[in-house]
This record gives sequence, structure tokens and C-alpha cells, in this order.
Amino acid sequence: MDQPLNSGSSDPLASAPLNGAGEGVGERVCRSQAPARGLEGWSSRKDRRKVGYRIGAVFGAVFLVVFSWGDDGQVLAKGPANPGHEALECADCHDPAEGTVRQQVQAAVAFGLGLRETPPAVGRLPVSNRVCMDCHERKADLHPTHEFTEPKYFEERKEIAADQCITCHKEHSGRHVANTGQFCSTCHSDLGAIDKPIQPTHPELVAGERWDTCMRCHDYHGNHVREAPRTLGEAFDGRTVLRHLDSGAPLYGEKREPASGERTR
Amino acid sequence: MFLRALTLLGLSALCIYLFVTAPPPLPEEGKAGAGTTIPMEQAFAVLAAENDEARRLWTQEIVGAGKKVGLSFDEDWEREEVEAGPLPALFLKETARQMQRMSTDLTFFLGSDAPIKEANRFEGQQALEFAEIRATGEPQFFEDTEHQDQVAMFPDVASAAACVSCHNDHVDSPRDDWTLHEVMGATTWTYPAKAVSLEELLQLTEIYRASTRGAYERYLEMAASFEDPPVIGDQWPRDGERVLPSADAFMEAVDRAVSSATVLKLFDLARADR
Ligand code: HEC
Ligand code: HEC
Ligand code: HEC
Ligand code: HEC
Ligand code: HEC
Ligand code: HEC
Repeated sequence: MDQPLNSGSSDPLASAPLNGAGEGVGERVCRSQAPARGLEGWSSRKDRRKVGYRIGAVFGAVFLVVFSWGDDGQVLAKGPANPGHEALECADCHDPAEGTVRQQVQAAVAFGLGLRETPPAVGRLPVSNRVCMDCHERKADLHPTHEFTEPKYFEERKEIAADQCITCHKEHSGRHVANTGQFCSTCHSDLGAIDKPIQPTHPELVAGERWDTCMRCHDYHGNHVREAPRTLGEAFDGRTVLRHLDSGAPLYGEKREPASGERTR
Repeated sequence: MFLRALTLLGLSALCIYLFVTAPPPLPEEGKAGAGTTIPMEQAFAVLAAENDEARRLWTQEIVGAGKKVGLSFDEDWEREEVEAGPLPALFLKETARQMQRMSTDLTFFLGSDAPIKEANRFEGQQALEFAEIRATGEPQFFEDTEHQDQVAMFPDVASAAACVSCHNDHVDSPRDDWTLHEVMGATTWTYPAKAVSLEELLQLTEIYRASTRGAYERYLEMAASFEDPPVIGDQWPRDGERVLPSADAFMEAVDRAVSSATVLKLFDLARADR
């Protein structure tokens, strides 16, 4: 897929309050913090200016969304497809939002004026985990996203929002994984109890903060037919792992549950 | 003059487009419509009661009775080479996994303060609320401010002798003195709304049941691929044979056990709202 024409203007929608999803890794889609507020509250000048900004932002966003998704959908694509996704259509991931464009625009304006509590989705829905799992259903995922929505992972989510696919797989980035695979530290800094016979031992690796070694032996989703090696000598070398995370070049071998090319639900 | 008129005309057209609600306004997610509204606390209670029954049925009628007729249940049930079904906690986990594949923000989890699996240990707010459950035996409700979720925790009680013996004997269990009817842990439920309409609660109940069914069907699928597959039909293991009830038969039993309680509860809720 080609670079989009206007990719120079980083992200035309980044400032739009539309989906309430923003760029924050810790946020779940479809949630908004907007307080309920009636028209009567807009008295001070600051308030009026705020309404002005909101209306402006809403209009800007509505304009961009409504007028930029051509049939070929290319105009606004944010960047190159991620490895493996080159052949997908835009609509494979971007579902249309509920309602007609006019309904969406009216709801957006109502939100701008404080007559509605939550901003509507305009044009397309945010891409949720569910969309990804329609093609990537891994019944035995070692780290299933939904488990990390539990309230007790509050602190961990602030460091790495493991409850969202797109935290690690930023789409339109041309990369397989958007980080260096050392985020294991967030949840596994207490491996003292593990007495698996590996060399060096897990407690030694943790004590030495060798978070660069984990993915040399382990995959994250456990979706490959393989056993973790017992020594670093038998493990992949660090650079090979980094290359895999960047380009998606095959590394861990045969998959247990391969992707489907079509949404299954 | 002409320009002014044109601007005026344009503006009024814009106003009509923007404000005249010929198309009905978009409904807002998580906002209960008109009619009976049910506080989420009560909605959770309906769902938790459904869950208790499915869990009891799975533990007693499938795991308990199944073991006696030669079926196995194992922590590693998902591995291909293991010919076994999920333990009670893992059946619940599979139900939760099925649920997050459906279009709902409802989620639930199983945990404890003395877990076999360290990852199931409560922390933070959940640990505090669970201490309260231990002390009072009562469910607890709170808000997860990060996600603006309503959260409920319901006690998970040792309802069968098998719960106690299996946990007491397990090598990874930090306790070996669990007793029958003791609170062993809790299910945590979350949903992003303070209240739901009656219709939404019915939908959530449907989603919960479909998830249970999905989990059970996945087990049946695996059982059908065992080297010596059990017969799947109307019979139950308690009948003394190495058989399994079909998904319809299993769900019918859940329905029969909980539907009257659920319907009564819904009537109560509808009345209380008036
Ligand atoms: C594999 C799934 C997938 C495919 C295929 C895909 N996208 Fe995306 N797209 C995403 C994800 C994920 C985001 C991140 C934004 C989000 O959080 O919803 C995104 C963001 C965007 C955005 C930024 C707007 C926003 O909501 O943040 C635009 C514009 C966009 N995609 C256009 C396209 C176009 C045009 C195509 C077809 C050439 C396309 N996408 C194909 C998954 C996909
Ligand atoms: C329409 C189906 C479809 C959807 C929707 C989809 N994918 Fe994919 N994805 C594929 C296919 C097909 C491949 C290439 C086959 C493969 O590599 O297993 C792939 C490959 C990948 C890969 C690389 C796999 C590898 O081994 O290199 C990742 C990572 C990935 N997808 C993540 C996602 C995420 C995250 C989402 C949601 C934003 C998503 N996918 C949505 C079909 C889909
Ligand atoms: C916390 C980071 C993180 C999250 C969240 C995450 N992944 Fe991954 N994912 C990785 C890493 C690291 C790899 C490379 C190692 C591997 O293959 O397991 C990977 C690999 C993959 C692959 C290729 C291997 C395979 O299993 O086929 C796919 C596909 C994939 N992820 C899809 C997803 C989907 C879909 C989600 C959401 C349900 C998701 N990931 C959530 C980090 C993450
Ligand atoms: C957001 C928290 C989190 C992050 C980040 C995380 N893990 Fe985990 N991981 C867990 C939890 C929780 C479990 C236990 C799951 C269970 O026991 O059911 C687990 C289990 C595992 C297991 C054991 C699976 C098994 O039972 O055989 C391995 C191996 C593992 N993680 C490796 C990694 C590696 C490697 C990374 C970094 C690339 C990583 N994890 C990142 C939370 C996390
Ligand atoms: C030299 C290879 C190697 C390295 C490096 C390594 N591991 Fe492991 N790890 C293993 C093996 C082998 C096992 C046991 C395999 C099994 O039972 O599947 C294991 C098991 C685990 C388990 C599961 C323990 C349990 O109780 O079942 C976790 C969690 C884990 N590793 C996390 C990590 C993390 C985090 C790192 C990075 C600090 C790491 N590992 C580095 C090889 C390695
Ligand atoms: C045959 C053994 C067995 C039986 C019977 C059994 N459990 Fe468990 N239970 C386990 C195992 C193993 C786990 C850990 C599962 C995991 O991997 O998450 C567990 C997990 C749990 C947990 C989560 C906390 C923890 O210990 O990890 C609770 C709570 C729990 N069981 C309660 C019960 C109750 C109540 C019953 C009876 C209705 C029951 N169990 C029956 C073996 C059993």
C-alpha cells in the first residue's frame, strides 16, 4: 500500500474529541469523560470560548471524516499497512458507525453544545479488539487482552495497556510490534518462585534486569508450536528478535491457530 | 444584498440540517432508555445468580459425576494431547472468553485471597472489597473510576465437597484447610453503566447464557475428538454411563434451574420502579 498523499500532516484527526479514544494507550474505546451539562450553564466568557472550541473541533472533525473517506479510501490512510495486512481492505477493520451521516453530525453538534453526554462515532467506529479477534481468534492466548481489563491491573495498564491490541500493534505503522518487547517487566518482576531449570535462572535474569532476554526464548501469545529453550546459547540472538518485532520476519515457527483472512463474526 | 440573502439562506439550511431532528437522534451507548431502569447492582445480582447455577451444574453434574464414569478434567485441558475438560474455574474463564467475543462491555473474573494460581490473587481495591466479603459474606459494589465501570463482587462458595478436597490437595494451594460452604473466592463483574433498562438486562442475560453455551459447546467439540468419544445426547453422567448431555440439554437444565428465579426478580424490579 502506498504512502497516503497527505501523510505529512501527521494525524488530521488526532485532536478530534470524536471517539473519546484519543491516542492514550490506557483508554478503552467508546468511553468518554464528558460531564453532563445543560445549555443554561454557559454563562462566563471562558465557557463560551470553550463551546466555541468544541463546536470548532467537532465541525473540523466531521468535515474531515465525512469528506475524506472516498470509495478507494486512500486519502487519509495513516501510513503503510502492518506486515501481514497488505492485502486487507480498509473496511475489513473500519466498520461504519451507527446511523446516517446526518444523525451522526447532529449528535456531534449536540455533544458540542453539551446536550449529549457522550460524543458519537462519526463516519467509522474505533477499531476494537473484537475486530482483530474476528480474524485472530486464539483460544489459548497466554496473555488474552480481556484478562487485563480486570480492575486489579490498574497500575500495570498505566505502563502498558495490555488490554488493547493496538497498544503493541499500532496499525498503519508498517511495523509488526510497536515496542522492543521488554514490557514483560511490568508484570513479571517477581519471578523468584520460578525454578525452571534454565541457564541463567529466571531470578538471575530479573535481578540483572535482563528484560531484553525474555523474547529470545518466549513468544508473547504462546501461539507457536515450540518449547522454550533452556539456555541463552540455544536462544535467538537479541538482534534477530528486534528484527522480528520490526518487520514481522518469521521467527518462532509454525502457528497453532493461524489468522483467518475474513472476519468470522 | 443578494450576498446577504444567500448567506442567510445558507445558514438556515445549515440550521435545519443540524438541528431539525427529522432523523431520530442517535441513541447513546450505556444510557438506559425510557421505561423501567434497573440499578446495575441489581442487574449484576441477576447475572451472578445465573452464573452460580451454571457453575454448580458444571461442577456437580459434569465434573463430579463425569469423573465417576471415566471422564477427565484437567488444568491443561486446552492442550491437544490432553483428553480432558476444563476444571470449574477454567470453565468460568472460558465463559468469560466467549463473552468478550460478543458485542458487550460486560466482563467477569474469578479470584481469591488464597489462590492456587498466583495470577488469580486479588490486589488493590478488589483485595479491600474481598476482605469485606470475607467479614460479612455479602456482595460488594464499587466504581472503577479509570474505566467509569460499575463493579460488583459476589462470594464464590464451596458448594460441593469436590471444591474443598481438590483445593486442599492441590500442590500449589496456599491453604489446605478449606471447609464446605466457606467463601473460597469471588467473581468480579464490570459494566460501564450505572443503570440499564429492563430490555438491556434481558440482553445481558442472553449474552451470559450464550457465553455459557459457547464454553460448553467448545468442550463437547473437544470431547468428540477424544480417542474414545463419549456419547452426546439426552443422558447425563449421573445416569451411570460415560455420556454427556448435548448443549441443548445442558442449557435447558440451566434454564430450568434459574429462569423462575430470574423472572421473579425481573418482576420485582419492574414493580419497585413504579
Ligand atoms: C488491520 C486493520 C486495519 C486496516 C486494514 C485499516 N486500518 Fe485504518 N486504522 C486501524 C487502527 C487499529 C487504527 C487506529 C485508530 C483507532 O484507534 O481506531 C486506524 C486508524 C486509521 C485512521 C485514523 C483515524 C482514527 O480513527 O484514528 C484512518 C484515517 C485510517 N485508519 C484509514 C484507513 C484506510 C483508508 C484504510 C485502507 C487503506 C485502513 N485504515 C485500513 C486499523 C486498520
Ligand atoms: C480481515 C481479517 C483481519 C483483521 C480484521 C485483522 N487481521 Fe491481522 N492479519 C490477518 C491476516 C490474514 C494476516 C497474515 C497471516 C498471518 O501472518 O498469520 C494478519 C497478520 C497480522 C499480524 C502479523 C502476524 C505475523 O505472524 O507476522 C499481526 C500482529 C496482526 N495481524 C494483528 C492484527 C491486529 C492488532 C488487528 C486489529 C487492529 C488485526 N490484525 C486485524 C487478518 C486480519
Ligand atoms: C502487550 C503487547 C501486546 C498486546 C496487547 C497484543 N500483542 Fe500481539 N504480539 C505481541 C508481541 C510482542 C508479538 C511477537 C511475539 C509473538 O509472536 O507472540 C505479538 C504477535 C502477534 C501476532 C503474530 C503471532 C501470532 O499469534 O499469530 C498476532 C497475529 C498478534 N500478535 C495479534 C494480536 C491481537 C489480535 C491482539 C489483541 C487481541 C494482540 N496481538 C495484543 C505483543 C502484543
Ligand atoms: C500485563 C501483564 C503482563 C505482561 C506485560 C506480560 N505478562 Fe506474561 N503473564 C501475565 C500473567 C497474569 C500470566 C499468568 C497467566 C496465567 O497464569 O493464567 C502470565 C504468564 C506468562 C507465562 C507463562 C505461561 C504459562 O502458564 O505457561 C510466560 C512464559 C509469560 N507470561 C511470558 C511473558 C513475556 C515473555 C512477556 C513480555 C514479552 C510477558 N509475559 C508480559 C501477565 C503479563
Ligand atoms: C533461556 C531461555 C529463557 C529465557 C531467557 C527466559 N525464559 Fe522464561 N522460561 C523458560 C523455560 C524453558 C520455561 C519453562 C517452560 C515451560 O514450562 O513451558 C520458562 C518459564 C517461564 C514462565 C512460566 C513459569 C511457570 O511457573 O510456569 C514465565 C512467566 C517466564 N518464563 C517468564 C520469563 C520472563 C519474563 C523472562 C525475561 C526476564 C524469561 N522468562 C526469560 C525459558 C526462558
Ligand atoms: C478438580 C479440582 C478442582 C475442583 C473440583 C474445583 N477447583 Fe477451584 N480451582 C482449581 C484449580 C486448579 C484452579 C486454578 C485455575 C487457574 O488456572 O486459574 C482453581 C481456581 C479456583 C478459584 C480462583 C482462585 C484460585 O484458587 O486460583 C476459586 C475461587 C475456586 N477455584 C473455587 C472453587 C469452587 C467454589 C469450587 C467448587 C464449586 C472449585 N473451585 C472446584 C481446582 C479445582
